[in-house]
Amino acid sequence: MPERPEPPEKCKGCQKDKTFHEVSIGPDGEIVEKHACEDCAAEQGFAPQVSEQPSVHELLSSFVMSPGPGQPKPQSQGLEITVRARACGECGTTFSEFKRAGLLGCPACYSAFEGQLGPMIERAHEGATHHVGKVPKRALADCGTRSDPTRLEKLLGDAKARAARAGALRLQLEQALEREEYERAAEIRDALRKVEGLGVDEEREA
Amino acid sequence: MKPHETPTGELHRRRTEWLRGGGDASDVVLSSRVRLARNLAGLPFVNKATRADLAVVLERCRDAVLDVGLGERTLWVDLRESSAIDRALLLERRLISHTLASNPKRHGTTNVGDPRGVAASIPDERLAVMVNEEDHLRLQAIRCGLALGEAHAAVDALDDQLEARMDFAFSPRFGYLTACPTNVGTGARFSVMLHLPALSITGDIERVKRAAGDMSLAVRGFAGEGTESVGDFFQLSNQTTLGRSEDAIRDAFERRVVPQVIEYERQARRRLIETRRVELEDRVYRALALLREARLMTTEEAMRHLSVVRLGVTLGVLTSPSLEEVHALLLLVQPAHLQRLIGRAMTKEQRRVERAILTRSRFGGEARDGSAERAQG
Repeated sequence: MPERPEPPEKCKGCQKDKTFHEVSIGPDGEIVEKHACEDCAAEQGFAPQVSEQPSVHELLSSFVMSPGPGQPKPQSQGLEITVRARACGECGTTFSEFKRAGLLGCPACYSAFEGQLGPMIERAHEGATHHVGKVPKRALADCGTRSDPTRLEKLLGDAKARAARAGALRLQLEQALEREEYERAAEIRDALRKVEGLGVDEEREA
Repeated sequence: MKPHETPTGELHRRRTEWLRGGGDASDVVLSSRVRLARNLAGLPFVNKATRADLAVVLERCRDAVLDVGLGERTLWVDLRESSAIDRALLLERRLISHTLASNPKRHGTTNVGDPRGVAASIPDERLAVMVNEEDHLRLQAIRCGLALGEAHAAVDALDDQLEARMDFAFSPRFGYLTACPTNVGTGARFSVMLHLPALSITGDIERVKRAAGDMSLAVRGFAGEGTESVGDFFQLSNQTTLGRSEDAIRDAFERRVVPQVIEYERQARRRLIETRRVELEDRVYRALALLREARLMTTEEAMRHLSVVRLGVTLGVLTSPSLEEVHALLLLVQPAHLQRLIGRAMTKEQRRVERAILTRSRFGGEARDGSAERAQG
């Protein structure tokens, strides 16, 4: 089924969804755009092969973005320029600086560049979008329980993030019980109570 | 503050946990290591920090680490003031990384004597803390053999104790925030140092490396990141740090991946013994002969021969030396250890002579002779 060239949703060769978009500025200032599905993008050389486990440097060496679930697809025009103009309010690191060095400047860079970083981090971590592991213990204890939901949210995330965390904790609990590691199971149970005590998305919807 | 010591003077004479020998699956697994990346909240990461920032980080972290104490005693080395040989010694003992040892130029700044340091538990060196590496803090716990659970518990407890004294950069979405987004989330790397000589001989090692890559695991050499494998020692570690809990990452790695590699290596060793015994014995005795008789020996060559001797010991082809003796030598043949052992700085050529004297004496050959004396000038 032939498509109009601007902006086609399906990949030309294979009719799969286009998930890779590269926008670069050519030597004469012209904007060069490439859009394709993951496989064709890899074939055409503007997305790294999945099996090669690209490093973050490789991911960053060309401006490749795959929109995450619920995120708008990147706008095609002026992307490079928009991104370059943005800098972290805390340390002044720009996104292109990060692209060059592969290193962020400070903790605040993660929120300053969250939109761009999210998809990259997702690719570097096999599709993972959220942390579900350890939370700083003393910081968590300092928050108390329900008394200070804002501070607690800073550690455990919003209701959606807490639902993901609760799911991961339940799995860990099962595994600990299977292995008869009861002390560890008790720790996980306490952590689970704390997360669920704050309310998770599933419960709100129910 | 608990007692601590600063000199690295006697370090080279001590055994280090990662080459202690023993532990589970020690025929294949030299050691297990768990490393956590942490950064202080409200301060720029190392690559963007000014020297004043780094000095603040160094002081805070040093005070916290010494207050907690890492073991019987805590060794603290301020790397600004350390000699090149001290840094090389710490690197060879895997207490610091190449980055921390060489202090490469940071983005847009000069790097002469950037504030940075390392702490280690003495005498066992099971716990270590690097300050101002790529992240403000890199905490590591090491155990000999396959013991990732134990190492994880140790480093996790240290993490809690340090976090009780300072705020770490953390976000609910991305977890522990690190300078490089590849470490974000748990900030945890689980790794094992494996000895895979039989898979190298049978040529199956490439298949294992590819399989490891497919499973998002990194394969590195003896001295860690950016190094080639020498003597068939490989470091295997997880690459992804986000989206799974520390336990889940460790579980998948320790209970599924590592045992499979161990089993491949053991199978290959059994096959060698059963079908190519004479060839195997020939390799082992040639390596032994070179260690006992050679007059010049590079580090790499010594490690290669020691690796083959280690294979011979684990398969019962050789009854001596012991694994512990082989491990001790793996460390002593390294350039900084050798110089400390001999007690003076030496050129590469002088080291080749002294290294050969060392291995000859340890393997029952003629320790010193006229030609060695002459070569030393």
